[in-house]
Amino acid sequence: MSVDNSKVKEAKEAPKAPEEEIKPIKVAGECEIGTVLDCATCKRCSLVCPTELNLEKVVRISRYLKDPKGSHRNVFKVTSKLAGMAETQSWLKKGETGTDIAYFPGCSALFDILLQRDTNYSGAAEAAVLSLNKLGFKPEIIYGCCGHDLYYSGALDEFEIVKKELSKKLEGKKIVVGCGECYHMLKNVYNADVITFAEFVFEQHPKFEKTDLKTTYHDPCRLGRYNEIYDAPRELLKKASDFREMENIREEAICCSVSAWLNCNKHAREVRFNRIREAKATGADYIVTACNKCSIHLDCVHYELNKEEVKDLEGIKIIGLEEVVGYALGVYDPFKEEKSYEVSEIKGKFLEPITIEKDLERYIDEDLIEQAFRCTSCKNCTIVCPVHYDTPGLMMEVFRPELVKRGYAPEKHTKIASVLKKTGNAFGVETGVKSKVNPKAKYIYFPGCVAQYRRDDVFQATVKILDLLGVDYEIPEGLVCCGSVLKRTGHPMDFLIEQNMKVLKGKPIITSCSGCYATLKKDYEGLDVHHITDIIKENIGKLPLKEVKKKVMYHDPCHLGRKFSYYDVPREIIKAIPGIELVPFDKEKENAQCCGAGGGVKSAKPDLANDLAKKKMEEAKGKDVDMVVSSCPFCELNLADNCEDIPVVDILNLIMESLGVKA
Amino acid sequence: MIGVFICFCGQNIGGYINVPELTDYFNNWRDDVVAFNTTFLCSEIGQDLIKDKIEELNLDAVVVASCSPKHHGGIFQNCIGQKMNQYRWEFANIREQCAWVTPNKKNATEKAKAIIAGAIEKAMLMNDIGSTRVPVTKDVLIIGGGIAGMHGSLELTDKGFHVHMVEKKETIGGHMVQFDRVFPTDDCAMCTSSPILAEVAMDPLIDIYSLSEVIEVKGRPGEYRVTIRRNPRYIDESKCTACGDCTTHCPVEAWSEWHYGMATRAATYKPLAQAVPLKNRIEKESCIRCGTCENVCKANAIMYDQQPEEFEITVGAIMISTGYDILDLSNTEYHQEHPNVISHLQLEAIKVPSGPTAGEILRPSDGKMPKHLVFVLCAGSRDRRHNVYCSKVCCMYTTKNARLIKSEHPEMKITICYIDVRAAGRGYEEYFDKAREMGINYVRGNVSEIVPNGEDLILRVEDTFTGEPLEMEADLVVLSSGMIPSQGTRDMSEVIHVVSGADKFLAPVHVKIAPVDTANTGVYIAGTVEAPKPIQECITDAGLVASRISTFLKDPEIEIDLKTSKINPEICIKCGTCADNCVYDAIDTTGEDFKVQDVSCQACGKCSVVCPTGAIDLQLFTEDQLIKQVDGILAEDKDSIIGFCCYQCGYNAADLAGTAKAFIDPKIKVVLVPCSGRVTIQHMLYPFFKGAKGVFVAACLEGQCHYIDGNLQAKEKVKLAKKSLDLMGIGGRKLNLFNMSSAEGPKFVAASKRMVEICQ
Ligand SMILES: Cc1cc2nc3c(=O)[nH]c(=O)nc-3n(C[C@H](O)[C@H](O)[C@H](O)COP(=O)(O)OP(=O)(O)OC[C@H]3O[C@@H](n4cnc5c(N)ncnc54)[C@H](O)[C@@H]3O)c2cc1C
Ligand code: SF4
Ligand code: SF4
Ligand code: SF4
Ligand code: SF4
Repeated sequence: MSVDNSKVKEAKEAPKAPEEEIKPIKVAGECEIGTVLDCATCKRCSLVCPTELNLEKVVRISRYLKDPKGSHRNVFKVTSKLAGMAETQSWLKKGETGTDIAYFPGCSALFDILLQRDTNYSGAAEAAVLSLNKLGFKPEIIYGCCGHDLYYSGALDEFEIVKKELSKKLEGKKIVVGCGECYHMLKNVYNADVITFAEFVFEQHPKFEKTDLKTTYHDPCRLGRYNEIYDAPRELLKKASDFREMENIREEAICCSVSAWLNCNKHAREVRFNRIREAKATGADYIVTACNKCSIHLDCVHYELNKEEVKDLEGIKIIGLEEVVGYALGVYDPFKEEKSYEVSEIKGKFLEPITIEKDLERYIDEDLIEQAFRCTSCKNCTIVCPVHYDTPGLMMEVFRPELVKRGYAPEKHTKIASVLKKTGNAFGVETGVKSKVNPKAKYIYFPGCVAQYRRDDVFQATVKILDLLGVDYEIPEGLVCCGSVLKRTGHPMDFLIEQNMKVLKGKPIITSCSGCYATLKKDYEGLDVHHITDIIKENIGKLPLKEVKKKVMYHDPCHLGRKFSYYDVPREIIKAIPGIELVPFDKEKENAQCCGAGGGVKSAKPDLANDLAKKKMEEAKGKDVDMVVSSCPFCELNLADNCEDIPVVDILNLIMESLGVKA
Repeated sequence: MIGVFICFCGQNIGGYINVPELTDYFNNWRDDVVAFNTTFLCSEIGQDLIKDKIEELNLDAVVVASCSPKHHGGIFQNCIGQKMNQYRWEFANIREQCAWVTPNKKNATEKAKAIIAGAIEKAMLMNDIGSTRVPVTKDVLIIGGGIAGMHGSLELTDKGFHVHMVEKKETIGGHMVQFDRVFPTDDCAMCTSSPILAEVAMDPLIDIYSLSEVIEVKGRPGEYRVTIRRNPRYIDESKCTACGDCTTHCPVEAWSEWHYGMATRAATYKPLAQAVPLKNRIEKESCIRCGTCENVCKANAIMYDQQPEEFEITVGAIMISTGYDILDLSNTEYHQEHPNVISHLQLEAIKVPSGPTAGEILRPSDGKMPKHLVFVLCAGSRDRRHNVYCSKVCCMYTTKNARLIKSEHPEMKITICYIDVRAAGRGYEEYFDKAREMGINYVRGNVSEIVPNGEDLILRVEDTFTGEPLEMEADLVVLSSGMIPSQGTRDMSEVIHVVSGADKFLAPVHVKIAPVDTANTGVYIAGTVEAPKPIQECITDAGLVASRISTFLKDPEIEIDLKTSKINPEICIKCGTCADNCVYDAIDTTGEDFKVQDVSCQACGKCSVVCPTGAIDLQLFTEDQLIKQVDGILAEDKDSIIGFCCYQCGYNAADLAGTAKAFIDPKIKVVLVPCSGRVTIQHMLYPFFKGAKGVFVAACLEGQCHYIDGNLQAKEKVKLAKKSLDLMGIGGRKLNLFNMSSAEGPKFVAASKRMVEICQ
């Protein structure tokens, strides 16, 4: 991506927005590799996604398409499959068992064995059982694999087998679960009767011996954002230890960086480093988690040989919540050397290979299609995502094309696509193309569909301002739609690129639409594209701006703002107009809420688009402004459609007003 | 489109596998596969077929179903390389590992299907491998200055190469210069070798480092950086004139190592009048620091406080010729402690005209000439307790010395106890016939015991003709003890990582077709480092090595295929685990992104096994290629037992089992890996998911891994994977690791049997 780095930096150092905002995350760089891989399915993005998209489902199913390999040489994907087909042996060494309640220890012993770290992650399970014993329960232990990693790595067919087998064992039982992943799976995917270890223990009002551990708590996504279990673990830790909170907690907690062994890469590594730094800053000696995988991924830093870089992370340990509880109950020693698991040699069984015909259709349902086409491609999610995962990228590059290919495109999108094929523009207009041919001109003005056919005012303003500034431009014949709408709805757009390239090649291009700007810049190769505001700002002195006594708000178009960290230029232009009062939206710049129209939502899901626009305009009304200004005709169209009281104008029209010219 | 080319190999494959059926099968297998067959694929006609089809059908990759890649791999690679990237192919070894080990034609054909299917799946994922040109150094290192080393060095300087010769002892020459005469010509050993010694000494292109050892070899083919340790002579080589004044005045008398204790020497000495370099040496252990030599030395050459020094040289190629030793039979049934039981090397030391008795055979205990001299052949050879192998030359050198002594002392009774007389070689049988004619007494019998009888000895022999036990009195017994690799040879296998066999002799890549090449490009072996052999063969080896080296170094640059590992910087988290696991320091961790240095990487793949993220992968054996190959095999035969065999040892052993036409259960399917250390736990577990009945890893013997510790890492992995299989209820016993040398076909057979038994 051709992001101007200086601007990215600027954007990140921008002043902090109001309180309730979710903090943007700083990472090494933007994640662009392996679109299906990188998402940690941590759901942090759901905090800001205006459309309340269920991304986790889309990611999972798009992984089914791609069958990605996991880290650690894929071994855990293989073991999950194997564990589902065979019969996990009992491996806990200690604890009294019975039938009072059930306990599901998960796979920690397997991780202890196969990660080759000489660890005892299984200690959490041992501590859990011993604690239950102490509290008067003799649990039945259900060994097995919950299949979380298959489910989230997209091995959905294999997961079904695991699920079928495990379901039998879970039936009719009340099950205590320590691990966040297992809990989430058992509760929400198996619909079993489960309770977290933390909550269960909490309900027993245990008598703790306060330990001398200095702890902080890392919210596992599966317990936190997935199941809103935030308090019980904290209450226990407060009783059992010297407890401190990190900076990003509860809903806003940052995840451990890896899910289903898939996305371990340098971005993930940065995330876990930062998370551990956060923990260290509390002065705690122990990061307590309630999830096997969180322990493992955070703990990874201790097995990095390239230590110099991580020197500052030394000294803090990762420990299971169950271990702290067991310690405080006096039944478990977290410092012991002895392993908590024990494996005996067995004859074992032979597995019959399963033949599965992969078929995506099995997993396509109405909800999935709904989710896939809800995304407005506003990129708000990427800002709070720990790995800056490019959700719109997944939608546009991977998932929507697949659905379109299979005939699941919303009717409206298909219509637009065929209209575009026929007429070369999104509105199906066949005549009246405005052009100004001048092969000798230095610049090309690319008006785009909206300015051409729907917002003549914007078109006129652009032309006038270009003339005023003495820009030597032409509008060549033969231009067609930039293709933004096709791209974002998952349709092929090559034919448009081909046509436009014939005309566009070789000259710098000016656009007045942020959608066109983004598309020409990112989806075409080798074009020199400028947004008109950039040119205006450079030459603002040349414009005889007169006073406009108005209170205005600026709406950041996603394709200009978050996509290119382009926040300041339009604001500077507005501020250059004497008499103008610029009032911010509650969430602006990188946190701005989108207009709701993007990504084909306006056409396919007008209600959603309207709701979102209304929400924005309500805020504007509440702030009693005279007008809302933006720099994307498409945003303006949708916002204007949803508010009769306040005009929504393009920044160019505002300039025209200030110049005293009627467009 | 993948083209499968199936070879009849005359009857070699055609006789055991239904090749036409196989061809049909793969022609109807999948749309993107076509199959062809021909009588001899390696012939010109066969190669043309491959080339034509690549062009005609625009093939993406080729599968060659024929003999072991160790045989004609190079030929096919070349052939394919003429039409596309030379690595876009995969072999299916259906001869050694299928036709020859599967007696039932139907079973063999079925097994071949699975092998080929695996190869096709792997071939689908083959990538283009590039190459690079790197400069080479024209200097050559020769380690060991015995007859092989000396001959090799002269051949090489003749061709214009600069030779660095490292010799552990104080003089070059090796064993040959310690002998009296040599068979089959019976000419005087010194007369033959002293011109060679002199020529080596005077050759301006040869630098000799005596009393020196190679302690480290780094770098890459064409540019090996060699660290040499020169041990002190305590005499300044540049000053010593070898006048011998110091020897004359030295008060010490110690046993002479050079004469195997058959003579004495002073603390300062030269072992040989013709020693090269012709310099005296002070032997530290026996020296009493009396200062006498320092006083008498006119050249002022004595240096009591000389220290060992280490230095580095750079060479393009290496020849290892560190030779042999003989078995030490003391404290065995051969009762070496008795003064009149001597080894054959000791006899040679007495027999040389320059020796302690001026060549007379006088027995050590009392200096009397023996009346009954008994030679014990196969002492410690062909014997499970010592050397299982035959040392090849003992029958002949024993006959040699018996004849020489008999002709000088016709009155002496000479008996030779033997198991078989092995006299294969031009003129050898005649040589042996002559000995019998001369009245030398050959007794076919195992010597079971040698018992002292005062100064004399009694030999208990089982006469294997009559089956009767025999007792024989003798007054001197000479043991023709078996040969073993010298300590130096064993050390070299560690320093240079050259694979050796179970017998610890260094192993060539292929005994037949590449007898002096090792698996390390640019490193060659000559003489008795490889196996016991006569001088003549040492000379042949050395000549061949010289020729191989001059081919290898003929251009200023050599082309190196980049079959190396590669790091995907997008995924790499720069944890450094790979670099830490690479014994060749091939991973550069200094730059912005970590990178594999192409010329240093030896393509073992151990790095990719430990990488937590999967960022690094070995290009010719990627994680996925191996998984795909397993997939292919198991899709054809889900009951297979998958054997990951390392290229250096396990795979060779499997081939040898084939050459020996042993029976191997058709369930066994071999998957080639460069090193057992390349096998990941995923590879070990995944086959079970696809129904496999068992999995095993066939690795080099411990301590013998070509890549140093690959087999130890595999051992650790197997241990963990077994545990996890137990945990998951599948049973760890179905996964095993077997260690075997490249020569141990029978061990592979046994391993296969064991696996089939376990995995019922
Ligand atoms: C008793 C006896 C009699 C024999 N008689 C005959 C015969 O009549 N005819 C015949 O054809 N063959 C005979 N042979 C066989 C013959 O000795 C060998 O074929 C031949 O000498 C082998 O030569 P080589 O160069 O391979 O090894 P060697 O002669 O063993 O030379 C090896 C050299 O390498 C040096 N070296 C060892 N380690 C190192 C190190 N780490 N670094 C540097 N240098 C090192 C050694 O000091 C030595 O100089 C006889 C063998 C024996 C045991
Ligand atoms: S791009 Fe916007 S609408 Fe789409 S998932 Fe992200 S936040 Fe939601
Ligand atoms: S915040 Fe990022 S990693 Fe987490 S679920 Fe959303 S896209 Fe995935
Ligand atoms: S393949 Fe072997 S030699 Fe090459 S970088 Fe990896 S560990 Fe080192
Ligand atoms: S082990 Fe893998 S992730 Fe770690 S530095 Fe090496 S290539 Fe990178």
